[in-house]
Amino acid sequence: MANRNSEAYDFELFEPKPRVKETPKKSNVIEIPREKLQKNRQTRIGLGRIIPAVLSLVMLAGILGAFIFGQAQLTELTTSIDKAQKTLQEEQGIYKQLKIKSDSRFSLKTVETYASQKLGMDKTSQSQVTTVQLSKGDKAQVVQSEESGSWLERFLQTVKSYLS
Amino acid sequence: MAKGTTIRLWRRTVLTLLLLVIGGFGTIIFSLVRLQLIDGPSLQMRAVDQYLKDTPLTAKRGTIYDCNMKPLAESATVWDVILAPAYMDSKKQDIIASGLSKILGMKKEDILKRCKNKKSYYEILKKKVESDTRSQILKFKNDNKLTNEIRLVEDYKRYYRYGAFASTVLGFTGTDNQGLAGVEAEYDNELTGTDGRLVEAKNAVGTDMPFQYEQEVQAKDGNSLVLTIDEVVQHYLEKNLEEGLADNNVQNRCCAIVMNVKTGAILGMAVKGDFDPNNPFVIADKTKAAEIEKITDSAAKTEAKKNAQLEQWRNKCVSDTYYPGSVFKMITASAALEENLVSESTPFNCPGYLTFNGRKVHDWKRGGFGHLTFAQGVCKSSNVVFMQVGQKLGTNLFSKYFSAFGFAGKTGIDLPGESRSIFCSESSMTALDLAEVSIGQTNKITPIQMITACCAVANGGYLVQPHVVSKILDSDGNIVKTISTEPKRQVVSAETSRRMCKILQEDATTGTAKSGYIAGYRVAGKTGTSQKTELKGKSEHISSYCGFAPADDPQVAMLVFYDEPHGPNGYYGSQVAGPTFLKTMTEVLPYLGVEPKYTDEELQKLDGVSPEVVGKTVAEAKNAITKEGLTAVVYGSGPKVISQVPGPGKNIPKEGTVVLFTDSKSSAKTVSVPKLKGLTLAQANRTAAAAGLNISIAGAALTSSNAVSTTQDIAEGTKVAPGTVVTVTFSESNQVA
Repeated sequence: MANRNSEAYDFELFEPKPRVKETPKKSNVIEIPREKLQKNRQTRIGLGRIIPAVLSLVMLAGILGAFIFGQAQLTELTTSIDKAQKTLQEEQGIYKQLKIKSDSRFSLKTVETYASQKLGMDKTSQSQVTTVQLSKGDKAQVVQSEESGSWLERFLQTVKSYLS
Repeated sequence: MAKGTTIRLWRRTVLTLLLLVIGGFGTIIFSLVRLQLIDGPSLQMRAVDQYLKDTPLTAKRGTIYDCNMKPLAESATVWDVILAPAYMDSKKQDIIASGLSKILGMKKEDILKRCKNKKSYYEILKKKVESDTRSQILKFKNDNKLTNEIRLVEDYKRYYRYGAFASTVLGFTGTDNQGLAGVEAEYDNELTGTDGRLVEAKNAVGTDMPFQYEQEVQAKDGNSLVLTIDEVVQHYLEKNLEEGLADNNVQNRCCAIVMNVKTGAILGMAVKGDFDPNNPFVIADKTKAAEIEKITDSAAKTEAKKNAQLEQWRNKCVSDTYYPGSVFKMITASAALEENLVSESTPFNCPGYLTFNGRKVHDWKRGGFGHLTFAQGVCKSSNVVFMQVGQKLGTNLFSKYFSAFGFAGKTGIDLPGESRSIFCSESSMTALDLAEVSIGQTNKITPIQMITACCAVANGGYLVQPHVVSKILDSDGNIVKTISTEPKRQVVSAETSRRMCKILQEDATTGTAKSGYIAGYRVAGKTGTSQKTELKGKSEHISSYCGFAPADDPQVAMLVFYDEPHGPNGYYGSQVAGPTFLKTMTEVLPYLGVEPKYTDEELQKLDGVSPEVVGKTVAEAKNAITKEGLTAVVYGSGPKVISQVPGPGKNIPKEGTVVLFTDSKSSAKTVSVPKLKGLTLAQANRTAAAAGLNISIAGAALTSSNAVSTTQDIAEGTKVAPGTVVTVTFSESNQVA
C-alpha cells in the first residue's frame, strides 16, 4: 500500500495482523445416515428400466437378424437365379441344336421328293389355269371393298368424291 | 552405491529392451516394406494368377438368312471336353480314361497319357461335342463322383442346315469359327462378335468363389446377314443343274446364276461339283476321293487331297474365266445398235468365212447363210455377220463398250476370289483379234461379268452392281446396313435395250436359242458354244445359255454354263445348256409372280384337258372324248369305264389318246416307256403312240420343225399305265450358236 504519511516506513506492515474471523460457510452437504447410504448403494432394477432396455435389444436383434436373413436369402436366390439361367442357356443351346438337326431333314429337295413320290402330288398344270382372251380395248378392274373408317374420314371421303 | 547400481542396471535394461524392440520390429517393418512396396506389385500379380480364373466368353457368330429370313447358316452351343489332370486322383485316372474313350470314341491310351500330365489344369480332349455326348459325360461324372477333373466348356459350332445347298455362296468356317470361304469369309468382320471375359476367384481346390470376386464383361454377338439368295430359286437352280451335270457327263463342273435384272440381286448361284460346308475338308466327289486314297506316296496324296479341296471350294461363277462364245454377241450387237452402225434390217452377206491376214475364220455353218439381215444374223448366230459388225465398230469403239459393260475390271461382287478378265487391249488388237473377240473368242471373262452385262442389255442399259447380301442386322434384329442397289452407269440407251430385247426374244422363239423357249413367258436369250483353245491337243468346249424374261419387261436373267460336256447331247449350248435354262425358268418365273401371257399360236399348241368319263358307258365315253378332239382306246370287255388314263382334268396333248379301262383285269395293264431321246417330233410321236403313251412337248419343238428330243421326264424302261403323258424336251440340232 502506498504510504500516504510522510513517514519513511510504514511500520504497520510489520505489526502482526489481526486474524480475521472466518465466517463458517453454509454447507450444501446433507449428511445421510449410514444405513440409508448403504441402501442407496444397492442398485434398484425396476420394470421401468427393464422393459425399454429389453425392447430396444429385441428390436436391435430383430433388425440385425432380418438384415442377415435378408442377405442370406438374397445370396441363395441369386445362386438359384444364376443356376436357373445357366440351365436355361444350356437348354436353349440344346434346343437350337436339335431344331437345326430336325429342320435340316425338311430341305426343299426332301419335301419335293416326298410330295411327288410318296403323296403323288404334281405341279400346277395348265389344265388348272383358265386363260382369258382380252381384246386390246378390254381391261380388267378389281373392285376392292371400302374400309370403314371414322365418321370424319367418311365425311371427307364424301366431300372428295363430290368435288372430283 | 546401491543407487548407482540400480541406475546402471536400469539403463542397461532399457538399452537391451530398446535394441530388442528396434531389432525385432525393425526386421518386421523392413520385411513389410520390402513385401508391400518393393515386391508388392509382382506378388500381387502372382496372387492374381493363382486365385483368379479368367474365362473367355465366346461371342456367338451371326446367322446367315436367305431373302425370306430362312436361316441357312447359324451357330449353336456345343462343348469342349477339358481335362484337369492337376485335380485328378491317381486312382481315378484309369476310370476317367476308360469312360471317356467309350463316350468320345477315342483311344484309352491317348486319354490316359493326357491324364498323367499332372502340372496341367487345362487339357483339351475333344472340341465341339454335341448335346447327346455332353449328357453322357455328365452322367459319367455323376456316376463316378467326379467334379473338376472333367470340365465342359461352352463353345459354338457352325451348322449349315441343308448340307451342300448354296455351299459356294455361303462358304464355311474353321475350327476357331473364322470364315474361310464365301460369304463367311467376305463378311467375317461383321459376323464375328467380340468375346467377353469372366473373371472369378477360385479357392485352393479350384472351386469357384462366386459373387464377391466375380466380374463379367458380356460378349457382343456378331451381326447377321440377309442374303439376296431365295431358297426356292436356289433349289430349282441346283436341282436342274445337277440333272444337267449327270445327263451331259460334264467333266469340269458347271455353274448357273439367276439375277434380278433391275437391282443386281443374285437370287440363285449354284456350282455343281461342290461340297458340304458341314464337312468342308471331305472330298465330296466320291470317285475323286477313291482315286486319292489309292495314292501310296504320302506327300503326293496330301498334295492331291489339297488340290481336290481347293477345287471343290472354288466358286466357278466368280473365280473361273471362260470364252463366252456366241453369248457375247448380244454385247457386240448392242454396241453396234447404240452407235447406229447397224439396224435390224441392215443387209449382210455370209459366204461361210472371212479371211484375216491370210487366215480363214469360218462360220459355224460351213456353207454360210447367204444374204441375211442383222436381226437374222443374231437369230442364226452367224459368226461372219458379227465379224463384219466388229469391223464396223473398230478396235476403239469395241474396247470402249467392252469396258463400259464392265468386262475390263472386276464386278466388285461381295464374294471372295473374284478373278479379272483376260482380254486384248485396244493397242494390241489386230484385225483377226477384233474378229474373234466380236464373236466371243480370245477374250476370257467370268460368268458373273457376263450375266451383269446381259442385265445391262435387258434393263434399259444400266450396269447394275451384282451382290449377294442385301442387309446386315445386329443381334437384336435391327438393320445396321442396307446394301445400295444404285446402278454403276448407263451403258446403252433405253431404246437400244428395247430393240435388243425384241431381237433376243425372236432368237429364243425361232432362232438358235429356241431350246430355252417357254410358251407364254416371252423369253429372250442367246446360246453359246466356245472352244477351250488353251487346251493343246484336246478339243473341249463350254456350253452356255444366257437369257432373261419376260422380254417386254425383264425381271430375271439367268446364265447357265457347262464346262466340258461329254454326253449324248453333244456340246452345243442349245442342246446342253438350253434345257437347263428352260426347266429352271419354267419353275422360277411362276414362283416369282411372272404370269404367262399366251399368243393365239401358243394357245393352239397348249395341252388340253382330259374329260371325265369314269362311270359312263363305253359309247358315251368315246363320244365325249372325240368331241374334245382326242382319241379313245378301250381295254377290257366291261360295259362301263372304271378308270381312265390320263385321269379326269389332267393335261393331255392336243389330239392325244385317252385310255379307257372297263374291267379290273385290264386296269392292271402296264407298258414300258420307250427311248424318246434323240428323235424328231414326228418320230417321238410315232414311238410314243406305238407304245400306247402320250407325249407333251417342251422346248424348241413348239416353234421349230427341226428340233430333236434331248430329255424325257419318265425314264426309258419304266413301267407305266397306257395313256400316261411323258414330257419330252426338244432342242434344235446342229446349233453352234
